[in-house]
Order: sequence, then C-alpha cells, then structure tokens
Amino acid sequence: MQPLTGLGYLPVDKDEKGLWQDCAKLESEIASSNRLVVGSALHDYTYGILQRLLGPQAANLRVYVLHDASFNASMAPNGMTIVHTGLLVRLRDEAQYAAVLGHESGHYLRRHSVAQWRNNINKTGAMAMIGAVANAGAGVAVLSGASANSVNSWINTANGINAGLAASMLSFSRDQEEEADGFGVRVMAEAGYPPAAAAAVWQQVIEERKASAAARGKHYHSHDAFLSDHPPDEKRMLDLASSARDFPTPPPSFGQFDAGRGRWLAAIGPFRAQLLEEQVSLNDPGASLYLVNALAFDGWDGTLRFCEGEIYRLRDGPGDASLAATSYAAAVADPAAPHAAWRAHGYGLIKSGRRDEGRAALSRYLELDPGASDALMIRFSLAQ
Amino acid sequence: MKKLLGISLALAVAACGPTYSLVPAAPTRVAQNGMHVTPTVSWNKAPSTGLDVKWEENWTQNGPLLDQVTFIGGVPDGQAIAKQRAKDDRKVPTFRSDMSPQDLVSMIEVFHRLRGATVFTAGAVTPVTFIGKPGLQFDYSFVSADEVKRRGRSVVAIVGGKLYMMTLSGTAQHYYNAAIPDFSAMTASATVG
Repeated sequence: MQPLTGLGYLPVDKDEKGLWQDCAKLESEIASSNRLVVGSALHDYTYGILQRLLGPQAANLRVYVLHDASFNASMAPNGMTIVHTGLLVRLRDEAQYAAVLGHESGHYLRRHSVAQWRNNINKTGAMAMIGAVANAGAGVAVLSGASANSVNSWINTANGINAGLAASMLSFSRDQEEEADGFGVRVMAEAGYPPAAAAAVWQQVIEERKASAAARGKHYHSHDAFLSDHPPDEKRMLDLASSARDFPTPPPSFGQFDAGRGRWLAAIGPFRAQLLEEQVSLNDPGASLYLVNALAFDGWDGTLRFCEGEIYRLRDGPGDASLAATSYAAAVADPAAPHAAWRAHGYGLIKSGRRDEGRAALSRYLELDPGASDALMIRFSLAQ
Repeated sequence: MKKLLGISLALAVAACGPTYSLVPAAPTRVAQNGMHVTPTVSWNKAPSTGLDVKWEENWTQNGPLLDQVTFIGGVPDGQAIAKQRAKDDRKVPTFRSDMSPQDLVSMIEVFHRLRGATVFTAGAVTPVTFIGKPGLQFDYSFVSADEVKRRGRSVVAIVGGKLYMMTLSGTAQHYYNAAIPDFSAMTASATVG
C-alpha cells in the first residue's frame, strides 16, 4: 500500500481543500476543549508511538487526548489525531495502542476520508449528507465501541461545523477498513510490535460489548455497538490474524517482537485509576466487569480490585454488597490501592453490621488522605 | 399538502404545550408538594419533560443551559432519580434508604455522567442540616457535550426512608456563582411537604 499523503502534504483540489478547512475549524475547537487531558505526557507518549510507526510522516500529525469513556480514535485528513480516554483504559500494552494508531494511520495516509466524502456527496447529495450524520453519530466508527446512547463529544462539535465532515471521518467502506487493517499490521510489525495485538484489541472490544448486552439480558448485535455498515466481525478477526502471520519475525534491527508493556504501564500508570473511574461511573456493569477482568489477565492489583468492588456497589443487585465487600478487602491489602478503597471498605463494613471494623477503615482512609475533599463528611460519619 | 398540514398541526400543538411559569419570591410548594421552599428572588418553573421523574421540579432564571435548580421531593426506596428502563445498559443506581454518604455521592456522579458529562470532578462533601435533618452537601464541576464547564451543588437528606434533594447547576462563568445566594437561602429554608 502506497501512502497518498507525503510529508508536508497539502490539499490540491476544491473538495479536499474544503474538507481541510472544516477540519481546521474543528481542530481549533478541540485544541481548546475543556475535555483535553491535562498535561502533555499522554500526548507526547502517543506522538512517540506514531513516530515509531510512521517515521518522518508523523510530523504531519497532532495528537489530542480527550476525556471520553467511549472506545474511539480517529485521524482527520489534516493530521488532527483524536484519542479518547475510553480507548486508553481498554488497552493492555503499547502494541495494542500501536495497532489502533497504525490502523488510523492507514485511513489517513490513504486519504480515505476524502474518498468517503466524495462518495457520500455523489451518492446522496449534500443535503442528504447532513441527515446522514445522525447515523454516523450513532455508530461512531473508526474504532468505536461506543453504544448508541454514548454520543461522542467531539462529534457534537463536528456537527456544529459540518455534518458531512463527521460522516466522512467516521464512516469507511469495507475495502477501506481492510486496507487500513493491512497497513496497521504491517507498520506494527516493521516497528517491532507483535502484529497479533491487532486482532486481540478487536476481539476484546467485541467480547466487552457482548458482556454488556448479556448483563442486561439482551442479545448482542454488532450493528448496535459499532459502525453499522462495517462492524469488526469474526471474518475481520480472521483476516487480521492471517495478516499477522505474514510477519512472523520483526525486522533484524529489533531482534524480537516487544509488546512494550513496561513502557505502557509507565505512561498510563498516573492516569489509570482516573480513566477506570470514568468507565466504572457509567454503571455499565457488564462492560466494566469484562474490562477489569480483561485487564486483570496480566494480574490483579489493588486498583482493579477497588474498581471491581465499585462496579458491584453501583450495580446493587442481590448479593452485590457481599461481592463488593470481598473486592474491597482484597483491594486494601495492596498498599498501592487508591485511598478511596479504604473509604469504600469502611462504609461497606458498617452497612453489613461490622461497625468497629468499618470505623477503623474510615479512619485509615483519613490517615492516608487527611486533606480528602470528603474528610469532613467522613469525620461526621465517625462521630455517629 | 398532507405533509404541510401535518407540520402546521404539530406547530399548533407545540404552541399550546406547557410553558415556563413565573415563581414569585415567596414561600412555595415544589416537587409535587414534596418540599416547601422560600426563594428570595423570582424564578421560572420549567415545564416537565419526558426525562423528569415524578418527584422532580426544575426552575431556572436565565435558561436551563445557564442555571437550573432541581428539586427532588421524596423518592422512595427502590426508585431512581432518573427515568430509565430495566434493560438500559447504563443506569443511575436505584435509591436505597440505607445509602451511605459515599453511595449518595456516587448516585449524583452517575446521574451526571449518564446525562453526558465526560469530565466530572468531585469536590467537597460536607455534612449539613437540610429539611431539618442531617444531610450532606456535594460540590462538583463537570463538562458535557457542549464543552461548557459547569459547577454543581447537591444538598441531600433522607427523611422517613425517602430521598429529598436540591441541586443547583450553572455555568462556571458567572451563572453558578450568581445563583448560589438564593439557592443557599432556599436550602436553608426548605422543609418537607
């Protein structure tokens, strides 16, 4: 696959220039968004992976990491790259992140958005396109695991600027998806990442959506959870796995494939508890439980146990208080657990009648975090 | 022609629909008579929408996107502060009369998350007296799909196994701060029924 976008590429024809202008307007909104993750660490880390994948081509790209619990990433024709925190929280190593970024780079370098834009205009006419955006919003695409009721924030921004832009960036043909998948796997392997990580990411997202549906007694329909035209179905999993087998070894300069788990944990570590909380507080117990168990595949820790307890507490079904209590007890056994685990443990114990133990746990919470924003309330509870 | 007629009818029906009504600065019953408050300035009572639960009433001074006070008067154990279906993937936790302060705070956060807040920052949780009973006050800020940063304050108490709550939300720039004095006066003067 030959990139159609070279270093320093600028649009030449009218269609593409118009699309870029819309992208620039959207980017000016995104760049000052109240949803941007504070600090440059995650942005810089992401850009570093793009450099490793694309080399000098990465110079055309600008990264924006946005707080949004949906699983999504996209790369606009002008190089604006948007990553949701809901994507980051679901990944287990750098190779998985590289798989997503590699896939998006495929769309970007082959200018799929431009082709899609023209295709949409030709097929439907400009006015119909504006109506079509509603569907794009419901099935937000690129990599979206967003369900229809979690409308992505920046899509709303895009709607206000140009509905067609959103549709073009978020809706690709099956051929384009295959092309991007193939490109993603290749650049991953060439950068020394195990290419099998690509299929693993998709599989995990599908399984999570199934778990979410099952938890509410519903059937999973791929078109509910993903881009309605092109869900990452089982065939796509097989194609990705097959593509990965085309790259059994990395280039000689890498020696062996490295999933970069250590680098991933170092980068995501400072944000992990916050990003998990964003997901857990959606109270989607099926999806959230699947997620913490998927992450725990590499080992349980206090943060994951605390999240597990929070999921049970919010679900509040029969037996959940007991399950939550077990999770919290396991969480506080890890000195690295969030301090809030002691608070949750304490209130859980008090509710179950173990008042003295509960008070001791609440006191421990205050010892660890004397300036906590709810310290006055905790002291009040202790005084009861 | 039929289409035009349909549109005209729809507009006519919309024009006859419920509208905002003035609430004078005087003692008044709110939320299906669940609470009694005394505003110090006049407000506008919003017409109820399909999103409201039956124990709810909403007021605004400058429009709900700029400032809004929500009264929840007496949600019983086993009901939620949001209208939702059993099979919704994401749900606001059901109110329980034995909820801890932590549970009440979580319930308020999930409520805002499911109304579109992708950034939600919890602030102070403090013990207060509300409707004559020990309750809590929860301060927070959030950003929803319109990118505007808002602040919120919820004051909550459980009386007779039922949830009573007043919430102020408003834009972080100006409107939240402008409404706080009257909101505080109302929470201080609120009584049950």
